Amino acid sequence: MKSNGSRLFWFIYLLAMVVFLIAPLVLILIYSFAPGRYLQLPPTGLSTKWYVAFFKNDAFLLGLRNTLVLSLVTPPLCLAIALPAVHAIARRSVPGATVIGTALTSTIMLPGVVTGIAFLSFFNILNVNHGLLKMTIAMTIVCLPYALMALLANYHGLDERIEEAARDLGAPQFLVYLRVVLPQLKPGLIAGSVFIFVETVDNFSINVFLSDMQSNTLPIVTYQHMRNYDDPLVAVIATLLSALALVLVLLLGRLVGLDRAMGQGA
Amino acid sequence: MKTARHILIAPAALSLMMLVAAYAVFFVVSFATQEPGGINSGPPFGLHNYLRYLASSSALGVLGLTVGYSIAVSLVVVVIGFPLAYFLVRTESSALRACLLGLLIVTFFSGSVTRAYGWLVLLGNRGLINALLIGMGVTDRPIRMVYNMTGVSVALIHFLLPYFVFSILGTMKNLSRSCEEAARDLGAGPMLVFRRVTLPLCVPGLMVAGTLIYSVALSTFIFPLLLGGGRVELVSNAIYREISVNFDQPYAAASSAIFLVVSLGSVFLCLWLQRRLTRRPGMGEAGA
Repeated sequence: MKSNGSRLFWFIYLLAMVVFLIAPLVLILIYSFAPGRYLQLPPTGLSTKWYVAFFKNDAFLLGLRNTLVLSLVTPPLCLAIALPAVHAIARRSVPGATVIGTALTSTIMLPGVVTGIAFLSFFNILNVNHGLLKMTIAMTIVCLPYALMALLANYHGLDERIEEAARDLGAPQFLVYLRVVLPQLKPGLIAGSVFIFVETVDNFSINVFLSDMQSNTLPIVTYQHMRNYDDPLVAVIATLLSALALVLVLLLGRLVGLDRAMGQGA
Repeated sequence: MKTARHILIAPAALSLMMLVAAYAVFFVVSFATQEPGGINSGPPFGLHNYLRYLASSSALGVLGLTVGYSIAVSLVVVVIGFPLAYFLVRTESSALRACLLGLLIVTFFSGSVTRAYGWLVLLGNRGLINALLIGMGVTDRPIRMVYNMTGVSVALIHFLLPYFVFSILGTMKNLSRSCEEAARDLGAGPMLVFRRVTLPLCVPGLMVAGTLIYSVALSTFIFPLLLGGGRVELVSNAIYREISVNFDQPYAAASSAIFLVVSLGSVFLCLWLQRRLTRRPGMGEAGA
């Protein structure tokens, strides 16, 4: 990265990448404030009327509610299942734990549509008809790999001697876990929660097979709206989701550090 | 005490069992027959759904297209994404690094529907690119960039890029500078150092990350659905159509089973090739 030629290469390349990455997000931001139904460039004015329309649209509000329920219930469930399992794996206290952990982690390779159909057939046989319940079960199982990976990466950085010291000082096992191990797992818990939250908000390929009229999530409502209408309502929800993404990134950067968070989650 | 400890893994084991059970049911359904006009499926059981799939040239065509298309898109992402990962591990400007990393994660987190919609607005007939092209007099009629392969590809590449960069960053961080420095000290120019030292050292990581995005590309569903306008159909979309339009769950299950075998088979092939390649004498030492 020294000579002028390579400097020019990096400048043009990075500029192109930044524009490529950010262009769709910037454009939907502009479009969401459009005064008319169609995108005018340069914008002819600013209007919040599509935001007002969005929060008056029953289908979108229902989708927002369902997505919120799903994405707030799933991360704690996932982490509650993953926490004891990861402890057993990391401390080698249960034979076979590693095998189960590896099997669960590798389910990340399964194509979403196939998993969607598998859960559809499964719930049909069991006669489970509650859309949100089906999606919560499916999302919890599908997102477990993210929780496992985030927490396992966190365990690798722990010093077992601190736990030993606590035990030597007479602390019972559960107290050692509660007061020594758990506080050190904060980065993994935060990173894991954020990844699971993001995946649950965005998932389409599995939920589309499990939802019904009452339980459609935001991506499904958005897809249905895009099929039938051509207006900036979708730009509004897309802008809101991008703003949420920005907040999550700032939060992760502050609480965990971006490098660490991505090392654990992805 | 021993049995009490097994409780720790019980919830995870139960989750795994549910997933396995779901896949087992789905596998059984793939041999069943759809009740005509109804929502239920049942006997007779047989291989007929599989035979129908394997005899359908259009179904096999979609499967072949999906595999070929995923390989092509993954290669593009590897080529355009590798310099970005390289820059992120080598740059001395921590501010620039943080900005780029933040931008990648915001893109990553903003969701697939959001980005598909952004590209629809950007590439559409009344979109920004066409407005610019017409304004500059390059063309007098809008160029069709959505509702065909172009739009789907752009959105998919945009979707896969952060995946790729994040999955390769970990291995690239461990890349020591000393080999590159040694080559430079011996008089190699920057291009030669990159081509003969840096790139070979990165090949194992590139192949793993490439395989990951290939597996994500294979299961693409939302981009052809939103940006393909019914003209672009990949395997996931074909399977969804069987369920949502034809209501033929057994046939959809059989298609999914074949897709699963092809998808996992090709992913394992990639990973096996990667292992073979890195164990080759000389390369193995370089990778360590």
